[in-house]
Amino acid sequence: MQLVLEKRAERSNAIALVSPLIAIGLTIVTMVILFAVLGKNPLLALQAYFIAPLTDGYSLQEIAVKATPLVMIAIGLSLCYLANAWNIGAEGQFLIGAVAGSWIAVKTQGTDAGAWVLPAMLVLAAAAGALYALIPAICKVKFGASEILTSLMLVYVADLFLDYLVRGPWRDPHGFNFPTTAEFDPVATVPLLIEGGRLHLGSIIALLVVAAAAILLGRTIKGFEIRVVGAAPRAARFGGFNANQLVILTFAVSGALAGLAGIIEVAGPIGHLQPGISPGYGFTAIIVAFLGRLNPLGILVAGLFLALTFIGGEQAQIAMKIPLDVTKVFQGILLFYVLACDSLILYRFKLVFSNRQVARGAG
Amino acid sequence: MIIGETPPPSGAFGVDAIAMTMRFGDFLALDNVELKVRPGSFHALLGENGAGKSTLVKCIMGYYHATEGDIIVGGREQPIVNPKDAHALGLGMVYQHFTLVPAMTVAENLVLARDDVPAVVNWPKEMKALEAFLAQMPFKVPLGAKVSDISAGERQKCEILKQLYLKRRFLILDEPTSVLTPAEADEVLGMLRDMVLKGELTILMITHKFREVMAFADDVTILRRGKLAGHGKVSEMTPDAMARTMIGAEQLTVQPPRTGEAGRARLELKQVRALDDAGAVAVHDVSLAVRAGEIVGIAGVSGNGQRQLVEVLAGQREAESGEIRVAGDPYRASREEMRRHKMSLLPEEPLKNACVGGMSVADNIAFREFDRAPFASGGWWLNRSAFRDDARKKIARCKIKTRTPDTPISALSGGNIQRAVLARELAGDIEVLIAANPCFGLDFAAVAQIHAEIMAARNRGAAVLLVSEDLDELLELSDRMVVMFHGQFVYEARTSEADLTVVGRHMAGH
Repeated sequence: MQLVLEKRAERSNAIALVSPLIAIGLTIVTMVILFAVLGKNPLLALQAYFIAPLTDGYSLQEIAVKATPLVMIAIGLSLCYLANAWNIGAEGQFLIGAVAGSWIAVKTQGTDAGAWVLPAMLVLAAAAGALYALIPAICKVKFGASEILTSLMLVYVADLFLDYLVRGPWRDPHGFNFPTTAEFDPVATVPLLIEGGRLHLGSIIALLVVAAAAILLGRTIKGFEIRVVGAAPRAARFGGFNANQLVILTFAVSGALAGLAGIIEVAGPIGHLQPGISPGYGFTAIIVAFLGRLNPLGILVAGLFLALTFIGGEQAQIAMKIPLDVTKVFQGILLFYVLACDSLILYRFKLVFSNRQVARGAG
Repeated sequence: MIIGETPPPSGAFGVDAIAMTMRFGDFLALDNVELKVRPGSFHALLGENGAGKSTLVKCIMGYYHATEGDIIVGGREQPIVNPKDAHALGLGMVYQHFTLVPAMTVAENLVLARDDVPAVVNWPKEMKALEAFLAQMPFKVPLGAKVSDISAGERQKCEILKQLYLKRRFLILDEPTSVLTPAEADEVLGMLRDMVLKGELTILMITHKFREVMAFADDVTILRRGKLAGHGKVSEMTPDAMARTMIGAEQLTVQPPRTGEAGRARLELKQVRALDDAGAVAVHDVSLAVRAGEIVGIAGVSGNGQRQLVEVLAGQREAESGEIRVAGDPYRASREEMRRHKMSLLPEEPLKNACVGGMSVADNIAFREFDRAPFASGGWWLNRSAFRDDARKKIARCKIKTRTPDTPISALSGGNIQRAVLARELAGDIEVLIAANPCFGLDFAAVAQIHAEIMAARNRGAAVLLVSEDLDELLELSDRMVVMFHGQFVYEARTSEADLTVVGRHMAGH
């Protein structure tokens, strides 16, 4: 008897949809084992991770707040990945967007600048994120440099640049030498949706981005081109499509969305610029994009789920002293299983008996 | 009787496949098929594409596991779970495409194919053994030559020798002559035939060339749509009877007669040079003019630069140098130029080259015109219902078998994918048509339809460039023929005056 992987006659759309669920199931099984090895009660840990955050209003708001940058970044990344352009540097584009937007906030601090400040910050952040993403895109198109490497390396450049600014020129003079800027003025802050709560306007923007992406992919010429170029590069060249142009376009859009997410995070929940403004949103968004099947609505759901793991991780740390890094382990295992389960879209497991054994079994 | 490993028989042995049924989901690829190959015979397996020939031999070789049925090797029922089991029983398969490592020598390829390659190969000893082995064989191949340096005919001989060297005594050949010139094909099959006559071998050959069946095979089994359609001795059959058994009662499209005179040159190539993926020159400064109302055929054994040439014309590969003009204008294979000059392309392997597998039939049919009215408006928006309406019309007109216009095109059969591409490419007026192996792997009905469409386009005044590895197709359709060898055009003639042996010689580079 043998277990073999056999190619399916055609790709299974059912598995394509179910694959993330199988992956989540397998991840949870793995986590149970991991919790047991760590000497924690697996059931309590799972409760802290996945149930507790859903039981009070504060945590629910917090999930939406965390999901906002994840969804916005992942939507941009999904456009790149659909077009076969591999932007791994959304984290850097997020940071640069945050820095660029904060520049206006810092420069207008204490002046009587009006309501134009926040919109200007958003626009500048998006533009900066797009430009930052164009560096690897142009290197790829002009010189054939691998966008995976260049976009990833630029993450660290952005990280150190932000660090330099908040420790140097932009440091709050009254901040007791902490490496942060001063708190942003009210005109430079993303307004809250619920008085006294945490939910802010950024979540609405994220929903609009999801809707726009769904329309772009399903109903527009550009969306059609993106899907063709990504799914069948040879056929796209045959049809006279310009793949390079789409690499530039999708990188720019995903950079802009990451940059926008960056400034919304800084001008929203955080309120000032500081190092460590992202717990790895740009990287987690890669998981969100794939878990959501590169589909806008799927990404929305996946973004909420990954946000739940962040909040659950904090809860588990407080309640059970489980290290916060376990959340990152969880996310990594999840991506691993999603990609592994995706091979079942084209292949299936099959148990093979030799004829004789079958005959014996029957007799 | 001892159950366990039986040593492979030394002489020829037979293989029977009994009541073979193979299901892929809902699809019945084989339906209770029987195949009896007598020991020491040359057996031909005939059938159209999709008739189940490949599925049947893959079941015999252990690549697939038949849903029902038994394999009897040398008179004993044998469980064949994987190809290793088949090899142990002395069954070997030669594929349509080469499986040799081009950068290695013939000798290295032979030795490395063994299951028991030692960690350190004692080359002097192996070479001696190989030479002794070769001395008994009818084929001669240069053992020390690199595979990349030998001709297609010699490579095919190596593939067969490899099977014999591995002591396989039942050979399955999958369209073994598709990469050979007619003379090479006759030589290789003739030698195999001699070994069969001497009782050293049994051969099962998948083919669609009746000429080879008549000349070399003893018995024939014919499949149609997964069922056994007929079998018997070749000496008691005619090619006509075999063809009728293969096709069944299906009506074939009638090809229109050749009419009209060729006009002015419409597609011109001047000193076009192109590289292959490895950076070597594949197309060597070729020049050619195709006139309106004319079909120019490019003949040649696969791998002589035809693919790269077509890729340049289709915009999939940049030309290194040279110039292409269409109707006098320079041509760079952009969407705009293709549209302005009413160019159509039928590339080989349409699913890979001209379709987006995961997208719907409707999307694929609209692939060339999607950003124009009625499919798009305002330079931005797509009109999905126009996609579907247009697809419905074309699906009906071209008899494309698909469940709905929204079905992913990769779910269709090869013939229907090609029909969808035809529906798209041959929809409007055509001034230039470039086709590369347009009928590869298709059934008779689809081939007849495509040939009729190509001839009709020519008669309406299109300049047609037809690249094909199938000489019969070129002889049937083209007005003029050129032979491509090592990236150059080495022979040109009017088809009506072309001498087949001369064409074959040029294809082989003599």
